[in-house]
Amino acid sequence: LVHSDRQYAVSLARAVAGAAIFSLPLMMTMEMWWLGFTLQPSRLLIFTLANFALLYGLSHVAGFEATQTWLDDILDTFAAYGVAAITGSLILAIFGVIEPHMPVREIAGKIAIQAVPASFGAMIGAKLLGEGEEIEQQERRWRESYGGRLFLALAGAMFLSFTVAPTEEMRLIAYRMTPWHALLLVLISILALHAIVYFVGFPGQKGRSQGGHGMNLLRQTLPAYAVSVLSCLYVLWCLGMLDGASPVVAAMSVAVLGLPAAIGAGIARVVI
Amino acid sequence: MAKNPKTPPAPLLEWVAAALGLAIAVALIGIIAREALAGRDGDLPILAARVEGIEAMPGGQIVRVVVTNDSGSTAAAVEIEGKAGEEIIHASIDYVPGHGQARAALLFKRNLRADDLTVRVTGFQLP
Repeated sequence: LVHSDRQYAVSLARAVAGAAIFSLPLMMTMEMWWLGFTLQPSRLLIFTLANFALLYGLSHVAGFEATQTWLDDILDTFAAYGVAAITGSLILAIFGVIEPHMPVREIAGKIAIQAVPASFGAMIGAKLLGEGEEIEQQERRWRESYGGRLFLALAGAMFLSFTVAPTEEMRLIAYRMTPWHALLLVLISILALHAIVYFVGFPGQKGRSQGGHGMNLLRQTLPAYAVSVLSCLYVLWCLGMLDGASPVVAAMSVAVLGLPAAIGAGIARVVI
Repeated sequence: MAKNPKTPPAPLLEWVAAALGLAIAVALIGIIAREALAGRDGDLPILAARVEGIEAMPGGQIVRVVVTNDSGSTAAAVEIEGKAGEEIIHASIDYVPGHGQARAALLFKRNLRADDLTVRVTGFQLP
């Protein structure tokens, strides 16, 4: 339990570390710098605003400190965002990606787009540093509900797919594949997700799973895969990766990103 | 989660961190929202190239060009052409951000006279 400034400062330090660990690959991705000013402002706005709902949920199931009340979760949501924006600005400034002579809109855009994954990292900072145990105990009730598990699957999917989503390679892989490749990839993603959750335990669930394969596939794996696919669609759309793509190419891009997303959903309990 | 009367109040630092985060969020959202509400999502970039300076270098002269964008929309793969007498030189710039600028250099073999030199943007990609 955190009830002193000193303890909260330690939690904040974890949040800074989490933001840096999770978003460094994206801070070093040029597509992310460009998106800061090439993305339509309305879409960047939606991406930023929707992120607050995700952060609130993350604070509820995990977070960088244990939270007892909704007010606590809201405070942590903004704190994580602040930590992410500041950490992101410092790193981007050191890399020379943002410079004082640039237009305000360009600087704000570059920081805002990085703040989304960085704040995600800040929220799971405690877990990334291997100190999430105590927080998890506090949030267990919600983590183990069906809704909580699906949310964990969503967060896990984003955890693994976020860092590759904005790269040109997503589109290139989708172009190289035939529809048969894509179908096979979807099948492999579902099987991989099912295998992971079957042996490791479903997201939010303690230990290995009980019950038959068919039932678990229907009740746990397929909903988790569906949530992963939705998260891929959302991230790809926000990053402008689906612009101008035909429905087939869009579906194939989602199938490609769906592989890391599905594996992320499977290991959600380990990383979120 | 239900409010628990035994829950200790949030420490002061938590409020400070949250307030700072809120202020940053409002500032970033404000800047982006202003752009979004201005409805300039589909505008064309307005580009202009001008010569910033000419310097001598071994084997020729180097012309520094700055391209400015007066629109809110970003231009990608911007092609620049410099012409001096018979000599035509091309260069390209990855991006010129909305309301921003980018720099390039054109290398000429011949000796340049300022009144003989023209630079212009010949095309770009709409991101």
